[in-house]
Amino acid sequence: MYSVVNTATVFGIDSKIISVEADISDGMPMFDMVGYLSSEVKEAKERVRAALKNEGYALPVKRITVNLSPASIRKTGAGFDLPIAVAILSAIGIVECERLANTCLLGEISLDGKIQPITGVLSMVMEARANDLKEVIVPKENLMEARLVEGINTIGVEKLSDVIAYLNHGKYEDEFLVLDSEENKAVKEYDFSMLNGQAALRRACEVAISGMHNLLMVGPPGAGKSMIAKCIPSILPPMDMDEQLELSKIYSVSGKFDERLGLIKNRPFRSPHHTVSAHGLVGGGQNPKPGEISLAHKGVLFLDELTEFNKSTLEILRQPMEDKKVNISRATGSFCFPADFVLVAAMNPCSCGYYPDLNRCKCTRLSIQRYLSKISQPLLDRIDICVEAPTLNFAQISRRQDNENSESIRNRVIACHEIQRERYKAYGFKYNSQIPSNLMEVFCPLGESEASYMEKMYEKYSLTARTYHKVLRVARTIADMNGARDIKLEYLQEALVYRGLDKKYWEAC
Amino acid sequence: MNEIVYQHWFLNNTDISYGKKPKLLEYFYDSYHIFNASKTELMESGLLDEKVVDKFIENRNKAQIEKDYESFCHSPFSFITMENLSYPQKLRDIYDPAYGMFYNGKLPEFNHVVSIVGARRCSAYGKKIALELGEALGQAGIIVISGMARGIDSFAHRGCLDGGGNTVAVLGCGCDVIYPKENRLLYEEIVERGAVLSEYPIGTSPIALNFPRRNRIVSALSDVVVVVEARSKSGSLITTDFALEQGKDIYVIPGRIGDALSEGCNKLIAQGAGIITDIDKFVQDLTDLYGMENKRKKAIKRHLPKLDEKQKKVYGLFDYYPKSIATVLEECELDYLELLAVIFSLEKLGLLYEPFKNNYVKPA
Repeated sequence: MYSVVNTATVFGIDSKIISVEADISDGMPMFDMVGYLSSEVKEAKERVRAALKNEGYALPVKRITVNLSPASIRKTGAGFDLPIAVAILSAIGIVECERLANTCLLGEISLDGKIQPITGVLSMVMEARANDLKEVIVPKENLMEARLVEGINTIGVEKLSDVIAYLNHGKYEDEFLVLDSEENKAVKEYDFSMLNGQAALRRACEVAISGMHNLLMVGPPGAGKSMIAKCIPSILPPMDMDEQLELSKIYSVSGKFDERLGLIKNRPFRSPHHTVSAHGLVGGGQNPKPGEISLAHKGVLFLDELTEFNKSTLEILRQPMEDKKVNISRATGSFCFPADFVLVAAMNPCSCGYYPDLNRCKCTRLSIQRYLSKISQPLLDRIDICVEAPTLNFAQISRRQDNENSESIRNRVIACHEIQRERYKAYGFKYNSQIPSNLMEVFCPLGESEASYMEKMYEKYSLTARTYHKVLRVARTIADMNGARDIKLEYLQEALVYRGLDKKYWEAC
Repeated sequence: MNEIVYQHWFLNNTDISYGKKPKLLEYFYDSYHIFNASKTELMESGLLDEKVVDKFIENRNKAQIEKDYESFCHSPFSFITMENLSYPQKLRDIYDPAYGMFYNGKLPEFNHVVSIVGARRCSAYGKKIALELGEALGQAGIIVISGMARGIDSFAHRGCLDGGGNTVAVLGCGCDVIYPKENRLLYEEIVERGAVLSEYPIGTSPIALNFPRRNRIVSALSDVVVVVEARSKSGSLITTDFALEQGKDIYVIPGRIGDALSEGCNKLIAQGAGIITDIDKFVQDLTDLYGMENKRKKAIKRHLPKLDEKQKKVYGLFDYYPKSIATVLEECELDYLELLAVIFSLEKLGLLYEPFKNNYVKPA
């Protein structure tokens, strides 16, 4: 007897439909599984055998062969238990084989026949829908996640017997599930209204997000750099449906998806510790999983204490920052993870943290140079805005101010993004930070007096072609924030304040 | 054989310590006799251990010293020793004098000399003062002497050169070794307009041990020692110790209480050092003392240009120490863009300058 069942496996952040075939024939009694299986899939054999026995179905004393195809894809994860069990049940005639042609089964089985939740359900259900399957049977715990995908019938099951009852008799009690949207709102715990002082830093953050520029904050310990970074997600514009689905998919395959909250609506804020490994940052492993940069997709990647990160780890960021995605190649295939994030980094100006306050800083010039050389120039070149965070005195911290809240900043940011979207519609990019250098003159033209001012500043600050373009891009954003069509002198002045870390300026004396 | 060869040999000799050389010279009268002294004679001087003497005798080789001198003659460097009459009297007078010195450039008459010393990691204010003081002295025709280290030393040399004066650098390494490296151009200019000198043999690397010793030469050659900025434990204070020992005048640039870079200076004031309150007046007093004509044109007093209310307010918030835009923004009630416009306008007027990114200082 032969039967076939559909299931799916995660491949990168996308999924592939896998057919599970079972064949029972005469011969030496054995249970064999083939199809490029990882060890956890091979173990399914034992789980399935025990679960079937405990549910009251004895495996026939025959030669049982299970094949997972296509054989070229490596199968990983525990989600194959349920389809394998059902394929065998179908092959021995307990479940009707035709019934399964349009069904996708996902789930891990414990020895007593309970169905356990798995990761990556969202991605797999989306793939099932794309392959015109009509229904998908998932562990009950994953039902909410599966229901986020519209246009496919989802069944949540608790035990193997539920599956059989449903498949044979259509017996299924649908539950009405409510998403806990209240909780989703409560996640926004940081707001710009909580922040006293640091007006320059606030402004820099707004400019950075308005043009999606990467931001570097330099300041002594305790200036509030990390705090302000945590506020940044609250001024990011809301995500549209596609973005939410894409992000939820990434979180689902990494097992970080909280299905009670529904699709992820808040933009992510990821703040990996500086001991993070290269694979942890960009993603990796034998079966690559998304790294921090993908978990920060459409949100903020905050690298606190930038100089403490492993230098080679930081260098890996260069390509994803350009391409907004990262390609990881392994023997099992090539995986592409989206990584469209805004980099926000914070660092001290020197190893003691107090430069240029010569009363407190005891670093020698050499040690400052050594400290700064931990960040490479190519990485600095990808950061458009660099801003200093001064220490605040008591009066500034304690003053109860009527600080502007994130909501109103966010509204301005949304308006600014709208202007940019409109302008760059035909050009295949979205934000000012992405203006290619050959289109600089189209989008950032300067008037006569502005051009002559920039000429002077080019000399004064010894800019290069690249840093000059960075200044112009930031000035473009500031102009957009003010609703201005032309880049005026004052916008250039502000943009120059944000110019990159100039190593020359560290040599104050 | 020319006696100069022996002088060169004795100056270059590393078997005998720097301190013993002048004493040995006094005992044997000149380096020729030292070279030809027998072991018993050397031992009789009571200045050297037997071990040192054995090594000393083993290493002296007539053919070799002639060769050494020959090759030295082809180098751009010169040397002067105590055996030479033109050896500066000021250097003979001190405790622990140097037997001789290598130099690059032309040794001036050390008649009107002021040394300027100070912190390597100086503030923007210190930099400004060192440059101005150096320039004023250079214009007045007074020789500025310093150590060509980073910070105050370099700025003092630079100021003096800009003022058209002669300046002398005393190094703690061989006078062919440029340390710190970024002073390459400064070195060339000093050699052109004065001299770079060192008691250490050509090629000696800049080890920390050598630097305190060279300070005694800096102070010995000068009439007045000026300390611009010094922390409470500063190498500059070693120079002032030598200066006190040698009976030189010490002047300091006063600083604020609580300013780490001025602690050393203020301590010196407490101990009775002279205070420079006005660079022009200081230079004038010096030239009067020397009976020189002060060729320096008095700096034209700058009048504050007409400023509007906002500019006045922002100007008042800045200081003689670098202050960041962000800090000033917290203190004033101006809008960010407005503040920037005011700062840039003040900078254009020359009332502020930017020693490093986004930090501004009032020019002193």
